[in-house]
Amino acid sequence: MINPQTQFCPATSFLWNLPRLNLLPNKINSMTALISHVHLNAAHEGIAELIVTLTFENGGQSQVPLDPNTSSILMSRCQASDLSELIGQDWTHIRDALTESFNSN
Amino acid sequence: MDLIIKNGTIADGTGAPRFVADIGITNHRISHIGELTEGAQQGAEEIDATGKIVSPGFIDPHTHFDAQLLWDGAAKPAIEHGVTTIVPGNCSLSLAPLKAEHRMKLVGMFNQIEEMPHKAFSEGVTWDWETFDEYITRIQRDLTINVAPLAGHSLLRLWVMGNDAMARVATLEEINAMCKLLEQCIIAGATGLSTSFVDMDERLQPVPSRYACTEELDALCSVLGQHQKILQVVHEFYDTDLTLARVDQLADLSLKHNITTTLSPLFLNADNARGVEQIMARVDEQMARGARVWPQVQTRPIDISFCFEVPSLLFMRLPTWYALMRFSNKEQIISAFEDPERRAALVSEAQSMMPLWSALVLRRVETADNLPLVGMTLEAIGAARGKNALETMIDLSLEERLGAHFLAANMGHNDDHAVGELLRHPNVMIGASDGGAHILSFSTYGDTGYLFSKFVRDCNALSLELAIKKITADTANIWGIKERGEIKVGNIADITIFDPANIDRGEEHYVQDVPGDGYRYVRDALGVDQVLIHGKLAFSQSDGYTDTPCGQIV
Repeated sequence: MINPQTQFCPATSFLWNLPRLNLLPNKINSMTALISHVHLNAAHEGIAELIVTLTFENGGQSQVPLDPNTSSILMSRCQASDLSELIGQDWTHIRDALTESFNSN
Repeated sequence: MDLIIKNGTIADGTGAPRFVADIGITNHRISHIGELTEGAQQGAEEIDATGKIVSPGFIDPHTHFDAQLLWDGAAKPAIEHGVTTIVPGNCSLSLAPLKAEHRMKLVGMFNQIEEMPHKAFSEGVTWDWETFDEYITRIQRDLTINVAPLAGHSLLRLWVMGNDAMARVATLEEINAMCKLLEQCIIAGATGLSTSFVDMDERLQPVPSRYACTEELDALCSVLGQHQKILQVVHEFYDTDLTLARVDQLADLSLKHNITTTLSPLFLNADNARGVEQIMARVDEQMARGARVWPQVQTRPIDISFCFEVPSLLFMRLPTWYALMRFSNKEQIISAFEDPERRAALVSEAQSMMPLWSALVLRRVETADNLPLVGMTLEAIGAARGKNALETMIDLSLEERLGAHFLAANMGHNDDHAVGELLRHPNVMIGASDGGAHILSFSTYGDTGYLFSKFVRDCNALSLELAIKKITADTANIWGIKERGEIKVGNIADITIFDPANIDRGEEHYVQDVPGDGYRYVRDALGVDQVLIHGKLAFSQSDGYTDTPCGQIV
């Protein structure tokens, strides 16, 4: 059984132990998915990326990694000034952020 | 006998317990193991390996040294880390077969994906090949390290389809042409085929291999099967469900065509531990069916680097900082930090992240004055200056006009216990180093040293013998590299001699040794004494590289 690490060094501990942005909304509209969790991750290219967890109406979850540019677009689209404001937002914002990011390149 | 390695502690690559013995090398091969008579030793050069481990040379199965081999036949610093064989051409990208009209396209892709500067090509490369055979001939001129080259799927598509390779699926005729071309590459020395399901080219469009239909890959795997060659893929490593699907796809290809397949990379982070469990369970299941699907796991943790000029998501929790970096130009950012009131507000907002700032390492500067500080933590620099790490980070950024780069070490793939378990897993290949890639961002060298220092000595996750087996005989067997990877009589003498108490990767630093005055991040090797390739001394700690052209296409 592989167990997630809880603490290794001050910097890592800090990132993983940030206030958990894992607030499942009370209602999930049918035929949709909502952002239920957001956290930072180390991407293999040596930059920070955002991992967004989507929760579907049947409780299933999937994770979407976002690069810095797409993350910023997502924040703008959701009119969020803090990562916590992404919680509860509809998955379509991620779709649109990815589209805008792809097309802007 | 040409050379004798005396009194070394042999860990032969099989995982069997180490033992003390002499090794005799005759005509590039291991001719004797055991105590050697004086008569047998006469005339032979001698290496005293007392107290050292004598191991098969390490094999690095995932590299992008394709371009570097054109100006550096030793693929430095690979050999000094004990690596005697490299596999370039991964992730659908090789440098042959390549028509002249597509050369700049490849330069663009290598720049985008592997961070190889354009100038390195324009000043370091004479384009005198097109076919795979011609590329092999080209790199063989002064090859010091062994090379097992892959043929890139994106290159096959470009050759056959031209620009349509980046627009559509191939016709049946084109698929047949690609199959013939792959066969020519194999006959010329290709060890297999590489493809990518994820990479983007210099226009941020999918690389040519991503336009292929499944029938195309199936046809190419049929060719691999006829020649017993390997398929390497870079898959959707960031998504568990897609990775599971790729494992199944590779298993089906493996069983259908009787080939070995490998996918890389597989990372283990705090958020995907459950996913990795699922992936390994699927790999185990497919292997039990008889499929050969080898996930590659790197040893080193993932670091994050940044500077103030490019907004990093590390600042996303600090709205004022992030907005400043995202929506301001360089002068505006500098101006904000130079304004005492604005600086005070920014500092106040960032105080809560002081543990992170304190652990940051200064990794690159532009000015000579701050050069001595490179490699130090911000806490240490700040202590010398009488300031905290946060203020120091801002000061350094201003002193360098935002050209100060910082490193947050060990931010991902960093659970030593869990990663150690994964590396030890019998169905995991140790690899995915990306040697020769990402040269402007971080060092991809020294993963083998780190395997020993962290996972053998520190964590005791693997025995020395098992660690050696996993990066020598196991890798050789998986990749079909014959007569290498094990110290046994008759095998080719690719041998690494090292101090087990000290072998490690050194500190990361940057050097300016890329053609076109380019720089790259490297790590020196620690604890590797001598490296023999094809029976010849290629590197010694005392005298450096011998530049003996002993490398082979394997």
